[in-house]
Amino acid sequence: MLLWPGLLSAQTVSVKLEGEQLRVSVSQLHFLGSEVLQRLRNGIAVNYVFKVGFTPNRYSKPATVTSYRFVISYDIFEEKFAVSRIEPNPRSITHLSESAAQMWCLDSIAIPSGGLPADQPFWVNLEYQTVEPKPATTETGESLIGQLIDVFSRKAQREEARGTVMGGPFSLTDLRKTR
Amino acid sequence: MKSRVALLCFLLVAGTIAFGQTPATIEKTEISGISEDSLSAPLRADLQKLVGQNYDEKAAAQIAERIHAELPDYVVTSTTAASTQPGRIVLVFAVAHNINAKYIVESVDLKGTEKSKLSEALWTDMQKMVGHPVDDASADQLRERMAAEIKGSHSRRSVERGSDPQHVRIVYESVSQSSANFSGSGGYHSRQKFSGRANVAYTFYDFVGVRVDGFNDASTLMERYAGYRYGAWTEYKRVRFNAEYSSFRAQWSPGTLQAASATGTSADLYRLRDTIDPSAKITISSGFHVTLGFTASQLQIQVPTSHYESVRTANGNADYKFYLSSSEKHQFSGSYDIRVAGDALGGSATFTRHLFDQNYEWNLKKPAPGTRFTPDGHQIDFNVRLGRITGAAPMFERFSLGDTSRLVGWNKYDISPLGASRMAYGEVTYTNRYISTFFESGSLWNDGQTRVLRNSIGGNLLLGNILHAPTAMRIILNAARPGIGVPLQKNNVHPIFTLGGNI
Repeated sequence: MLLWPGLLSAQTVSVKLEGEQLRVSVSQLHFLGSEVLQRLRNGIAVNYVFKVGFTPNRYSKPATVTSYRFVISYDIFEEKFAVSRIEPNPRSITHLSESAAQMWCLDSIAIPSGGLPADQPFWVNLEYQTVEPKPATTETGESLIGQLIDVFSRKAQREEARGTVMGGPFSLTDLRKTR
Repeated sequence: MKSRVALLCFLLVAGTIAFGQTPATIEKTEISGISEDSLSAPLRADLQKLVGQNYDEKAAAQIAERIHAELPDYVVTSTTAASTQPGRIVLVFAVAHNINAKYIVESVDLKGTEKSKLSEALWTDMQKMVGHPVDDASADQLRERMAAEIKGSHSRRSVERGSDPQHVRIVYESVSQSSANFSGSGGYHSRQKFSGRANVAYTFYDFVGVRVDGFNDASTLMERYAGYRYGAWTEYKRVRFNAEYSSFRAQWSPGTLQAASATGTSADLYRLRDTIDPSAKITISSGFHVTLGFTASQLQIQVPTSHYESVRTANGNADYKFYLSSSEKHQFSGSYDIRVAGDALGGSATFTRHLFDQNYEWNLKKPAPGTRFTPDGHQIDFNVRLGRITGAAPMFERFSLGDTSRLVGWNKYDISPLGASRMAYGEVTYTNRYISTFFESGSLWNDGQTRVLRNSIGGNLLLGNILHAPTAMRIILNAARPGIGVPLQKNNVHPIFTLGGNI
C-alpha cells in the first residue's frame, strides 16, 4: 500500500537546541506502517531514509537536506526490535519495543544550526521513506515487444512507505531563551 | 524411608546429568556478514585464541561487544553451530544489520511452487544456506533468481522460527498473479524479406492461459505462411495441457513453384493449412520435460482440382537442459522430436520425422545476475541438428536451411526449393557484449541423393551495447542485430544481410 499522507497535520514537530545542534522530535509519528511491520515480523530488515531540512516558510523546499539512514529489524524469537543507524555516526541498539525503535530513530535526528539566521523564523521539513535495493535489469531476451512492455510497466520491487511532516515557525532566538 | 531413597535417586540422576554436560570445545570461530579484515588485528588474534578452548558464553559475549565497539552500526551476536565432530562446536559471530542474522538456517523451503519449477543450480544454492547464519544479501539474490525463473508470479521471502531453538527456516514463496502479455519478434533476410510474429497472452493465476498469435513468416518453413493461431492451456502440478488451432495461408516462392512443376510434385503445394494441435507437457524435473500430442492438419490443394487432404501425426518430444557445475559455465541443452503419421491415425500421409537438436553453451565468464553479459564476458555456443524423414512428408514437415538463423549466408530456395528429407547442420558461435560471430556448416539432401556440404561465416552487431544506449533503446537495438552471412564458395559469393533473428 502506498502511504503518501502528504502533510500529516496530526503530528506535532518540536525543535530543541542542544549546543549548536537542533534536535527534531515529532510526537505521534508512527512511521512503521502495517505492511512494514508485517515484513519485519517475517524476519526481513527494512531500510529507512529520513531527510530533514529547514525552509524559510511553509511552502518552499529546503535548500539543504541532511539524510539519516536506518536499518530496522525484528527478532523473531525475542520479539524485539533492533535498529542500526548507518549514517551519520553509525550506531546500533537492540531489544527495543516498537514505539522505542521509532523513538530511537527520531531522537537520532539532529542538524547543525549554523546556517540559520538568529532572528528569522524557519520551518522544519522531515521526510521519511523505505528504500529497497534496485532489481537487476535485463539487457537481452527473446521477445522485443515483451521486453519493452516489461521495461515500461516494471513495478517497483516493493512499494515504498513514505511520509512528510512539517513544523514551525521556530526561531533560534526563542530556542536559545527556552533551553 | 521411601522419601529419602527418592531424594537420593534424584540427587544421583541430577549429579550424573550435571557431570555429563561438559562444555563443548570450540573447533573454530567464524565471522558472518562482514569480512574478517574489517576487524582490528588484536581482535582477530583474540578470536583465534578461542579455538581449542571450552565454550564460555560470557567470553563470547565480550568478544561480540568488542566487535560492536569497532563496528557500531552493526548488530553483533554470538551463536554456535554444530561441528562435524561430537563435543565440538563452531562459534559464529553474526555481524549484520538484521538482528536475525544470529540464527542458524535450519531449512530452506518453498511455498506456492514446486522444486521442479526451479533450476537445479538455484535449488542447490538455496540449500547451501542451511547450517549457516541468515545472510540477507545472499537470500535476496536467490529470491531475485527465483523471480526470474518463475515467470508470471511474484516471489517473496520470509524467515520463520525453526523447530530447534535459535534455528530458523527461510521460506521462499511464489505468489501467482494474473497477467497479460504482448510480445513480438521479427527478422529480415535480404533474399526472403521480412518475417514477423505478434502475440497476445493472458494468464490467470498460473493455472489457465489463453493466447493468440499472428504470423507472417518466410523464415521457418519452405513456404511463407500468414495467419493466426489460437491457444489455451491449463496446468495441474507437473502436467500442462495445451490445445491450439491455427489457420494459415501459404505463399510459395517462384523457385519452389518451378521446382515442383519440374518434378511433377505441384500437388504437394497447398494453399490453406488449418491445424488442431492438442498436447500434454510433463515436467519430469526442472530441466527435463516430455511432451506428447496429436496434430490434425487439413490442407487445401488446388492441383489438379481444388480439394482437401488431411495429415494426422502422433507427436513426442523430450527436451532437457542442465549445467555441468554450479558455476553455470557449461550448459548442455537439447531436444529430440518425433512425429509419426500412418494408417492407424487416418490421413493421407504416411511418414516418420526425427529431429535431434543439441546445444552446448560455454560461458567463459559468469554473467552478472539479470544480465546476459558482464562487460568482459563472452560465450561460445556449439549447436548440432540432425533430421531424418522416412516416407512422404508434407511440405511443412520437410527440412530447410538458409534463413535468418541457420546457414545464414545461403538462401534456402537456392539450396533445396522443395525442402529435403535429410538434414545435418552444425554451428559454432562466439558472442561477447558487442558482437556475435559464427561459422556454420550444413547439408540438405533426399534419400539417394549426393550430399553437398555448404559453409558460411558471418556476424551480428549488438548495437544497443555498442552505443551504450538507455535500457529501452538498448533492447530495441540489440534485438535488431544487424548481421551479415557470407557463403564460403569460390564463385557467386553474394552475402546475405539480416536483421533480427528467430521469430
